[in-house]
Amino acid sequence: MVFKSGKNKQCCFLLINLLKSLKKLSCADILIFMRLKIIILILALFAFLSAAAGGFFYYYSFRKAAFQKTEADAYSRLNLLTDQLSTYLSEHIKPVKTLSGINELATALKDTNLESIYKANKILDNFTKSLDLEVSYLMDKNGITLCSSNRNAKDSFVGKDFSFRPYYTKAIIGIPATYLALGTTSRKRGVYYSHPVYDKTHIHILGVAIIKASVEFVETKLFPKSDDTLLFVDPDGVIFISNKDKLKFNFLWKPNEKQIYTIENSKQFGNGPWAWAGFSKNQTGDVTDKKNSRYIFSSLAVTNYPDWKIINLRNYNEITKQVSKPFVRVIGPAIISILILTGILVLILYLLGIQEITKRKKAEKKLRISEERYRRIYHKTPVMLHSIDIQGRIIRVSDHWVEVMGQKREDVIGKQLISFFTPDSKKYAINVIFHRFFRTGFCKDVPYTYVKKNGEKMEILLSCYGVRDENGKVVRSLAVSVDVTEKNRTQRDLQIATEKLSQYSHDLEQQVKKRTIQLEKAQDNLKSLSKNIIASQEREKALVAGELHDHLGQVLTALRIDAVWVEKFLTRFDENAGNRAGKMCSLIDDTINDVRDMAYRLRPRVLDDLGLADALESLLSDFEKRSNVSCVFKHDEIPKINNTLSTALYRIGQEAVTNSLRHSNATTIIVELKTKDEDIILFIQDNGCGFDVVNNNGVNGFGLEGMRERANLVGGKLDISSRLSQGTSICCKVKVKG
Amino acid sequence: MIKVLLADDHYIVREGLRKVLEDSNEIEVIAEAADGETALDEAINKKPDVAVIDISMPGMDGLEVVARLTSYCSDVPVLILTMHDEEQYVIRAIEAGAMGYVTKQSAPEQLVAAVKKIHAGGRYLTEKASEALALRVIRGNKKGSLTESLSMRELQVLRKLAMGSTNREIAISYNISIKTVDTYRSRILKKLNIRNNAELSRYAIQNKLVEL
Repeated sequence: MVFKSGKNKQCCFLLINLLKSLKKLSCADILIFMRLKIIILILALFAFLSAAAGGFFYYYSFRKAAFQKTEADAYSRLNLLTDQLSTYLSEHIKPVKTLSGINELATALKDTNLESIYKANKILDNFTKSLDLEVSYLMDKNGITLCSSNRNAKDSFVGKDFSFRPYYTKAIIGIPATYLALGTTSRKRGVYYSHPVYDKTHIHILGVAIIKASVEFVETKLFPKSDDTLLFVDPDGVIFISNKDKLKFNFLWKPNEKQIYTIENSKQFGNGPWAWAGFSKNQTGDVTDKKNSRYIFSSLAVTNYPDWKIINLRNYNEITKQVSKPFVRVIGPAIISILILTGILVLILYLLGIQEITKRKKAEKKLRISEERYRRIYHKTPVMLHSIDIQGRIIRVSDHWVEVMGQKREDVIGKQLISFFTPDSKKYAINVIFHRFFRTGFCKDVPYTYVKKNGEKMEILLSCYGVRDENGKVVRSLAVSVDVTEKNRTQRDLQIATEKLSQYSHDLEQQVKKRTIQLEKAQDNLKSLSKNIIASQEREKALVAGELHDHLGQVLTALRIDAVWVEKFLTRFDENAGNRAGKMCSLIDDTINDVRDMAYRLRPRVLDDLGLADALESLLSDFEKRSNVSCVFKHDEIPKINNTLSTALYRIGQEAVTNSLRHSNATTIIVELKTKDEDIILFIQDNGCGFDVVNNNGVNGFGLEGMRERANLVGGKLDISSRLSQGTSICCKVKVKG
Repeated sequence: MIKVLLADDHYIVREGLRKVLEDSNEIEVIAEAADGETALDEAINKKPDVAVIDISMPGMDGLEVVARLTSYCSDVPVLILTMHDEEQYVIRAIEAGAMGYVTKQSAPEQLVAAVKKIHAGGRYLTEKASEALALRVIRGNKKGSLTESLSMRELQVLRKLAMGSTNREIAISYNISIKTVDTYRSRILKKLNIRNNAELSRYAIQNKLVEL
């Protein structure tokens, strides 16, 4: 097998590239890509947690702020409420004082009779009506109701004993009082205002005047229904006024025995029982209900009602709900969007990762296949391939290498490559090639001789390429060896054969030279013969033409002169004879013309007398007259040329124009006679049908060969160019000597 | 009497011509010559009124004699006599200085008249000869022009057409068919890139192809 070195090099490059690409990817890389999946998931989780935590903290601080604000709001609301309540609760202190000062009341108490009672009742009615009171009444000093604005009602106070009420006990000893309680008769809550009624001396107390105003109005006006719980609580913790109906007359805190006893005894809040509302306060001050819901607790004291408190309870859960509702509405979608986006991002990343991994897997598979193929190519390619490491040890050889060398693979791997070399090759390799190769990483067509296992020698050409590591250092080679034993032998044989051939050819050349000279001589002879023939032909023609023209022509001319004379002479005497003589004359004329034509055809005298240009002009005029083809003749001033040359050119022109007239159907023939430098050129061109110069076998028939020969004989050159239906042009070029 | 020098190398022809001249009773042949040199000598010595000279003679040919004679004794007009009827000879003869031209064939009819005309100081040229002369001059002047692309016959037909000749007249004067004349005409129009006879006339006049 003979490989060209270029092919070897290509082969090397291919294999090296395969090796390189194999090295590029490893399993570790693919593991990294597997881990990517987990990293993406963790990142996703982290992103999710961050978003969630951020949301939560934002929400938390928002809520805290809301709590604080609620508390502050509650206090300011309580302050306002306290003022309003205080005002309301002291509203009737002065009216009751006024009432108690009215004489009729004192009179009714002092002189109790129908009239005085009637009068007192009227007063009470007036007060009640004008002040929009629930009731007003008058008690005697024993605490029995004497007069009352509700005396006509079913639950009339008249005759009832309210001496147990603190407002009575205080007023009877001269201290006006206000008192909040549930009416024992009316079962309605109210504010009781009491004032002692004095006699005229203002020393003795006769009884007590009382005004009771309803708190319903206060409750509806100042304690509106809302999520907040607003309470007006007595010193023992009983809820007197509230915006929550079910809490009324309940204990706010868990009551003790003593408290219950006190309440029971005072009948201030009816007959009970008084349940516990369920609120309790722990050590840190947080307020919770039975369900353990936490409340914001705010309380304020009310003027004139020692230990009574206005309390605002706000459920944390309610606030949270209020806070979280808009929060969820506004921030929620944002957080959800972020979460969804994050999710999508993660999904995309994950998919991309998966795609990448799939790609890698495919690449890996391809790589495996190509590695396999490379190995197969390396081993199975019927070329001697081997690789050596930097120590010159064989690390890989192709099957063909092993086969050709007659070795076994296991005997070869790890051996020094040079151990398969002849001593000369070994020396050459160690001293020259290895250094060069490991420096340049390349060498080409190195002539080595291998020694096969059977001892046979094999001449090879080795080309190899260095495989480099990351640092660019040559680490191993990839080499192709081509068996050139046969080639070298053939080359040597060829050399010998070539030398022999060259000897033969040299001999032959000598012979050819000799022959050529002989041939040239013969040709020259032939040429001069031909020349002579033509010359003598022309001479003959000229001679005959001359004879015809000069002799016969002259004689005929003379004859004509005489004949004309005879005709004239005879005509005078005998017309008949004259006519005969006239006929003779025209016969002579015809003969002269014939002779002249004949001579002209043989050789025109004009050529000898006037030269080539005039002869050609005459010739073309003649042709034109006879053929009606337009014959144009153009010529320069022609120097004098010798007879042979002018004859040759004249004959060529004659032949060409004759051919054209005969064969071409041309309507115009142009003949040009020109001089250029030392050449004289005759150019004949027609616009006829033309002919195929190369393939037309009839060419010789046209006398073209004759024209060529004439041109050759005078040392000229004749060019004919013609194409079918494109006309013909003939150009004859002759060097004019001297 | 008009004194004539007659030069022709053929004795019998010379005799015949002499007879033709002398029959007129107005012409006297005072000298004869059979070659060019003699003719030249005789012309110089005898001083004839007219020299009638054959164009082709041994030794010095007629044209040479004419050339020399016109330079030596320009007062002797020369009539060229020839066997040839090619126009080229006429032209050369006139160029050389001859005053007239007669073919031997037409000598019996034309020679006397020619001698007389030349003696009277005129030129003697047949119509054909003068046309050939005109054409030669035209062709000599029109090198490289459109006119050069015309053949001799085409030029002749062009001149005739320009001078107002009909196709029939032209056909007769050149002894060709009317159809041929038409062919020539259309070729001329094509070659000169013109369309009709009017343009043709204008072309001929502008290019001095006709004498006005």
